[in-house]
Amino acid sequence: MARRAAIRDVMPILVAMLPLALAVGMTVAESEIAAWVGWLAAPLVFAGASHLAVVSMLDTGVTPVIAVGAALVVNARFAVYGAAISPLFERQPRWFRLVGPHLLVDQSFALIVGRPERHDPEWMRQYYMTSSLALATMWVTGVALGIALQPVLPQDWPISAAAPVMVGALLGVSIRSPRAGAVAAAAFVVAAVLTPLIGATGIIVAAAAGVLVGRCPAPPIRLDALVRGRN
Amino acid sequence: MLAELAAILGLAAGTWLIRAGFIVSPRGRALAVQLDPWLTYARPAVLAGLLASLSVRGTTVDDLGLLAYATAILLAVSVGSVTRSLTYALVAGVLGLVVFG
Repeated sequence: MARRAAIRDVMPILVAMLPLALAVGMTVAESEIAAWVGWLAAPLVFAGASHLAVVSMLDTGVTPVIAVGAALVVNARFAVYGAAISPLFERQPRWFRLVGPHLLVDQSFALIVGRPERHDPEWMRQYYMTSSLALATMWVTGVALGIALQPVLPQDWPISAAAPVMVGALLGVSIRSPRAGAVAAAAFVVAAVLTPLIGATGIIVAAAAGVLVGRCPAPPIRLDALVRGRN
Repeated sequence: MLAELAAILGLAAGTWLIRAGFIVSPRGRALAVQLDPWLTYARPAVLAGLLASLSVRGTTVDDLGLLAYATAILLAVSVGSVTRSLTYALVAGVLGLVVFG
């Protein structure tokens, strides 16, 4: 029952996931990084945005420590997901508490928190494992396909644009408020200014600047000034 | 290649700790809740920084032309922001490349 529900729920997500996996695979194939090393992040990290971030940064010559640090910042949201669903792991076997977190991504989180049956430990385990393993299988296969297909695609296809377009798409989805838009704009400007000076290390400085903009208190809205302005 | 392999393995280990640490430890759970306001903006900040870095350093702008590149990126960002769908955002970005490229 739980497995059937998981397959039914995950199917449309798998279709949506394939283009992303292909784009990440093509980015790996385009880079100077050995294809198998770039692919290895698909099963071991299993997180598209940080996979793309670490490959792009390593390819542009960023030191591995900084590249990993920036990619971990991208993955920091999993901490909040983990905290949110941790009660569901309390009455689970040990193997599941160790393996289950590795499969925690945006999609698997959204699926499990949307099911009212999740508080039944066995139901939750079957549903989570079935849907998450389907997501992981699609992801790992899609990235491999992207790597394999990249050399046979016509040379005039703008493959080099796959990484920036995908980062742009991921960025767009993460802008969920005007303040998040201001955060992104600030980080973009800082990184654009700093990158020619200090290389891609500027990404970290830009990210810190963006987060600070996000944490600045909002200016108070003076209603009386607004009214006077209209008159 | 070894440095890149080490980076991937380090990222895998760090990501597992981020995911599992807060599930296993009650203290970690409390910490995650405290960090939440900061983590909210970390993702758009890092992605915007990465996008700017790719745009400034890469050869994609030269290959495609500024108009096609900027249109594709703006379409991907704006459609993603409005629809909250990664698929729609990617399709919009690719359409921008096809039409203006």
